[in-house]
Amino acid sequence: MGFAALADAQKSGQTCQGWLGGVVPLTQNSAGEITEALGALRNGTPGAMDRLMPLVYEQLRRMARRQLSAEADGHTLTATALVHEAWLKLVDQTQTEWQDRTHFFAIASLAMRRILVDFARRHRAIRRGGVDGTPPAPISLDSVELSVAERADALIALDEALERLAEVDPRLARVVECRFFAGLTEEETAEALNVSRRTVAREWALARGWLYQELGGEVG
Amino acid sequence: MKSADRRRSVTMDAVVEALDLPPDDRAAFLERRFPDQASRVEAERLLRACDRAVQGSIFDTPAVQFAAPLLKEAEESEPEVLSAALMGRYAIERELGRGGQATVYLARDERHLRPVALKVLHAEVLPGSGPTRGAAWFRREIELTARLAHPHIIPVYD
Repeated sequence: MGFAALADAQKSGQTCQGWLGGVVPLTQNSAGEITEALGALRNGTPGAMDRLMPLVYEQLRRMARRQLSAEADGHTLTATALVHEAWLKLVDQTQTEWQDRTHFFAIASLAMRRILVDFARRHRAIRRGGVDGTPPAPISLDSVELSVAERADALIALDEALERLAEVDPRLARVVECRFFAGLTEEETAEALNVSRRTVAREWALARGWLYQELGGEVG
Repeated sequence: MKSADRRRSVTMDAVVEALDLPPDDRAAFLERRFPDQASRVEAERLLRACDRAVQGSIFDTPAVQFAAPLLKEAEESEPEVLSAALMGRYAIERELGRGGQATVYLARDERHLRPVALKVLHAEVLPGSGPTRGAAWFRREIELTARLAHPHIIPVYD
């Protein structure tokens, strides 16, 4: 666990806001970096994608966390809102070209998958570490009334099944990332993947069915 | 995406075509495509799975909402897990502030009997759990701050 102990708690209470922001570069700096890296990606500069991914991952994770602690339940937190807000806040709109939004959404959908699956893995690691010691329950894809542990297991199983789906057809897995993990609309997904809306619609249906079967859903 | 990347089965190819048709025409389409019943069964099962996955499955709610209790729990379980990790050294009293990256707690240094502020990096920021540089930044911040002595900079103890 990473921690630092500081002297004079009273004083630090007053200044901890600034201190909290000090760990990673402030959003403003990242905005410049993300805008620049999107430009590099557009121009086909090698390594642009490798630079973008951690930046987008980190900012989306922070935004999800901040939004979640700002409200009582998680109900109004949506990926759609997150990804759109991230696009508006993290990218200098005066310096973008039309392809950048598409690239950003494509990267953000991958980042959202990793973020959520990382949360699920962390939950499982803590559980295994003996907080309650119960072994993972068999996974269920039926989402009604799932416990936190079942949600973590379902997300991890889904992530692994998506890997297998990507081996069969990478685009089917990308459609799931865009539609499910990033909450993109059919149209935005079509743009991000450079295919027609109709293709997105039927491949989203196929991918869901394939995953449902792969994960042992009862289909009679 | 090049079709060479794909290794879709005959079944998947048929089902994706069927999904393009009005629901009532799909069964007949599969019958024409697979006249032999044995080979049709697999396609019919996949098609049923496609229908079934639309309602009452994980895909009903967007992933973030599905995972929201997990994110929420990550926040709430932090003090508990932390207390166990810091046992005998620091006792956590309450939370002072929280950012996207770390949380600051008011704690008691049990060896030196003095109040301290504890800054705790969120667990998913640590290495091995995502492509972030969080932990390295944090270590650098601690090293830098520890070297400083100024009335407006909080001294680092540990």
